Amino acid sequence: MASSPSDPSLDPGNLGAISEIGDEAGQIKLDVKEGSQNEPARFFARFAAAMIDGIIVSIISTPVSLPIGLALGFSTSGDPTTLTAAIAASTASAYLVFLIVMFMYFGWFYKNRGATPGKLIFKLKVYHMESGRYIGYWHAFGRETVGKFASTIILFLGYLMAIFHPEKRALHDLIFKTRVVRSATD
Amino acid sequence: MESSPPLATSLPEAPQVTPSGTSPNSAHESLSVESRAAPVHKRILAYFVDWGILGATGYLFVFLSAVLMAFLVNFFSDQLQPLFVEEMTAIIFMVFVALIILLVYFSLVHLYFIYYHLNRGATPGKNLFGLKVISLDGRPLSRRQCILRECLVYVDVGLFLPGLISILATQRNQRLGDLAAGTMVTHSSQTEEQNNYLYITQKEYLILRDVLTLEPLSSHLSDEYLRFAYSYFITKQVVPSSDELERWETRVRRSVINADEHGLDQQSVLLFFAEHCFQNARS
Repeated sequence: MASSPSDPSLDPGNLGAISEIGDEAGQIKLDVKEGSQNEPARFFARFAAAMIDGIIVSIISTPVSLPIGLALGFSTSGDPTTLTAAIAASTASAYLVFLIVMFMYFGWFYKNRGATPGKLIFKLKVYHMESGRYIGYWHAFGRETVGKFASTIILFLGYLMAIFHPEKRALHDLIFKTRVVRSATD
Repeated sequence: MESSPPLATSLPEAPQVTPSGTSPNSAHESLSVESRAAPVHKRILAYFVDWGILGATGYLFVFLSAVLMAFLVNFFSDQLQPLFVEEMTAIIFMVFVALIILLVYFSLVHLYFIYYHLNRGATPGKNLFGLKVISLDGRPLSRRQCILRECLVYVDVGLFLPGLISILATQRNQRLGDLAAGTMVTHSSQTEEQNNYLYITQKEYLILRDVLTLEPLSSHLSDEYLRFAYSYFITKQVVPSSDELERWETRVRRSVINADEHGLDQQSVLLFFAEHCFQNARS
């Protein structure tokens, strides 16, 4: 029968005593979790995280959109009208698949983990400035589409302003009231 | 995946570590080691994440090797001249170079997996989802096991279906590489969730949640309190007066009924309640 390597700190019997978090007199004195008063995330970490996320989203969406595009392409006869229509339809379907995958991916991870895998690797978290919570599905989707479009359309200045902003916030952070931080804890 | 058997070391019906104020579980139960066979969707997601990292480094690698090649071809241009006279030899040369770059890249990929499994028990991707590779004989993973798992990746993932069928068919969700090497991938929701605690640590929160008697949380109070707690404890944009802190303390102590019995002072009770609201807002 299987057994995991024995580690005394993982033994259920060693965990869960209230005395462990209190002092000798039985008084419990909690402090803010170490590394929670997070510093703003560095630009390069955010850049690399976004790159990794982009790759993951395309790894997920390409196997879905590629067969749709191919099917549309093969279904056409040779004449230019249907060909143009097929190209338009396959482009549209690829965008649609991409947006759906983005909605699920960014929404689920931002809501449940506070960060996408790319960000989690660099120990980054995204919080809503006002409510102090993780952001939800639509909030995340808006930030990724509308927010990042706005940051891109002004020649990427929206992203680059994170370098110069006193709290290192990008344009899409300001629009959607988010704060990207680096947590020092592991 | 619910039917997959727990390991010998874990409690038979270890409950999920989920935040809830009225949980009747003892501290022992909610903090037990929950190592079970990893669900297949978590393994696939973890694999995607690993490939996200490898893909990003792959871009960098291809870019660097292109720069290197440009320098090398320039440097050895005299020796390479005869190759480029005919189109065919030039193409063969290019393909040969591309194959070498690909070979180096894939050995880096395998080194990544072997290194992380051997030294950490989990790749960064697996780590994010609380997954860990363990050896069935109870010993730490050996180099032989890690290499064997990597070799069979070409069957499991390369042909796509064998790995998936094997994971779904075996009791411990093992892919063929796992079966050959005598390993399995375990999942612990406690590990997966440990970075989702903001105000106090996971251990402090789970122990206190078990010990304290908590009123059901109203979403209005939760929202209002989180707004205060985040700006006070985390961003430190707000410096409340002691009156304001006491007002919050009385409100919070109304929800955390037996806080006095356990000697929680003002900051402790405020921090615990902030974490409680944060955890409830997440679920």
